[in-house]
Amino acid sequence: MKSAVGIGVNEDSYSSGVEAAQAAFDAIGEKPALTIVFASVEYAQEDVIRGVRSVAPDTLLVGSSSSGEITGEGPVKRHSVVVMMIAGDEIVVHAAVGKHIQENAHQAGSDVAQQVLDAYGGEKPKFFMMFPDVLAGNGADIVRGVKTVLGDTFPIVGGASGDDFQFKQTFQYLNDEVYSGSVVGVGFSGNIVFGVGVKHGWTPISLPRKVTKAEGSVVHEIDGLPAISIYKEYFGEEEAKQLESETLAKLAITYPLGIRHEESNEYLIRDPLTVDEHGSITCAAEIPEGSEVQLMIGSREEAIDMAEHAAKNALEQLDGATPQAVVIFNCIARQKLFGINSGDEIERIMSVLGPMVPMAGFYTYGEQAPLDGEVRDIKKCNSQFHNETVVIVVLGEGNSV
Amino acid sequence: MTEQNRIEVLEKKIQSLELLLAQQQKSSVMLVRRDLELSRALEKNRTLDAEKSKFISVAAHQLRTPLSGVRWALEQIIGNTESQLLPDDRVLLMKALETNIRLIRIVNEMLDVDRIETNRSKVVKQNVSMHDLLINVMIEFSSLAENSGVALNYCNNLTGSSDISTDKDKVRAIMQNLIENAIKYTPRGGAVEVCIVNTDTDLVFSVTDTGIGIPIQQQPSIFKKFFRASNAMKVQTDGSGVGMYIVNELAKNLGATVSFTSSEGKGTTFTVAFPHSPFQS
Repeated sequence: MKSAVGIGVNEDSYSSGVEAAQAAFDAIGEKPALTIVFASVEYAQEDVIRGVRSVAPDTLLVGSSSSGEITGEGPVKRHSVVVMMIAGDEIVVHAAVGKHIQENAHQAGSDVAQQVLDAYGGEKPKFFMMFPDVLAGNGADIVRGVKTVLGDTFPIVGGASGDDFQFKQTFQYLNDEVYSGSVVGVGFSGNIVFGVGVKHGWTPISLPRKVTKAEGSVVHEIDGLPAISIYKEYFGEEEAKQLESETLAKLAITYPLGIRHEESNEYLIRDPLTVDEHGSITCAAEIPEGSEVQLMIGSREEAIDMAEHAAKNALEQLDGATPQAVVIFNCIARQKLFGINSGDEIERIMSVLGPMVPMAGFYTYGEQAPLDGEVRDIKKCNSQFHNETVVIVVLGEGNSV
Repeated sequence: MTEQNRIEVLEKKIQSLELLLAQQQKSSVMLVRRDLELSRALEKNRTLDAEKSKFISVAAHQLRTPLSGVRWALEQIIGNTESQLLPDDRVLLMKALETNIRLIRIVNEMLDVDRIETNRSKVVKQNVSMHDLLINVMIEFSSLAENSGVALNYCNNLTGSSDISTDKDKVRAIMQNLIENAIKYTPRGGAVEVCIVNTDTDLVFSVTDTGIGIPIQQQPSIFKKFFRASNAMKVQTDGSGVGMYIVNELAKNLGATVSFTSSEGKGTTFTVAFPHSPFQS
């Protein structure tokens, strides 16, 4: 198994796609089994994909628009296209798309998983990677949809597409096509081993409060008050005024809501995305009615320590195999938390995994991974939708098919 | 203690806990607001940093063409053997050319920084003899060393080939920056020693000087952009402060590592280790 990463920073969308793909292709030196693309929405999405396909026309391509691209050298400091190519004779990958998340998120999840399962002739792959659009619907519902097909205890990893922190429209890529409001998923099988690290490091700052009215990913009331009250109380008058005019996510992304999960050592985090005129908050995934939430706060020290911890966990799961490729799904909130020092987190992760291993990733609007990164004891593998979290997927070569 | 007393004690404890809880809640609100303030400042800082980088990029691009034009014109005038220049005028023009070349160099450094920051610094690999390249760069700086009264020595500790697959231009830039800095910050009568050695895993070159050194409290900042050590600014007034930043970033690009040891007033050694099988990407 081999992998390589290329970056394109050309002003022209097509050229940037070509540049990134050509750099990855030159470095890998053989036809890839899979091409993964992450691109800024500053680029015309179709042109980027055409550019990448002009270099690697006959290989499976998956990917997503992002809120910032990442390589082993750190977050790319301007809009870019990042391409990772993975090659290996004995790697089996199949991908598909589930559409219409807005109409039925659960169905979109089960659709994409079913098509991938069918492509494997009904035999489940080792793990499933997905790129959902959570501006269109409930991210947790999409994950549940996938699990109805691949099983309740199945390793699912992924990152929700971004749009450079605009929260307007995101895109998903499959071969020659660019979708929106969809979920693209890819199964990995064959001579491949993988490890997953999942951590956030956010800490509760408020006392627990009860969600008294909620539907899906919309929280209407907390403690009998409009859900937005919690932010008004903590942010103060001046900031509260902005909550009415700005996208909530832009203001509150580093202060998410946390839910205790009995199967995890860490809180499950939900990002607030938008607020309506009644003060109801739409999150990237649901918060069930009756659950207790707490306002959470992050610190750079804790977040960076947790990122290192996640990298170590992922590496341990390879059982001594050499990491050949790393894919990172890192919440946009973490980029905001770190500001101009966001490279420190990536540097710490790479110091664990080794600076030589090719890495590609992006800043997401939500992450998917098993709770605590549990993939060894498959009975305990409970894949969920996360926010504010870094998910590190490390791939290595297995001993046999 | 009677039942009534116990109830009273418990009630008092509950009251005190409720008070503590209320205080804690008040503190947490204050903490969030302060954190929010800092987060906004951080975001503003990030935006300003991006704008500043963009400004430097545009300014540097715009400056390079006219500066090159001035250089060409000055070289034409000075090089024209038939011109009737007075000796004093010739000296002035030579000084103008020297300043112009220094300006072009600063602009080029800014463009290098821009290329690094915008990930446009592509690695173009070829087979490079590090020994030959190092000799080449040393020859380039031999007259600067001579004029500065600094001995420039080479020690070859190679036990095998010094060939590695890397980006020649980037390695040259790393070597140029380190050797030039070592000469510039070494007082007359001092020495700069450039060594090369291969280990099991790396090909290593080092530049050791008997110069002014880096103050210990400023050492953590040495690879930061626009940083100049306080004692360096006293010795050399001009300098953009991006040289070591470029060295470190280029080295990272090539999968190499830069380290240093320094003692103020005694000297500095910079060491660059290139792995025998660097980055694939």
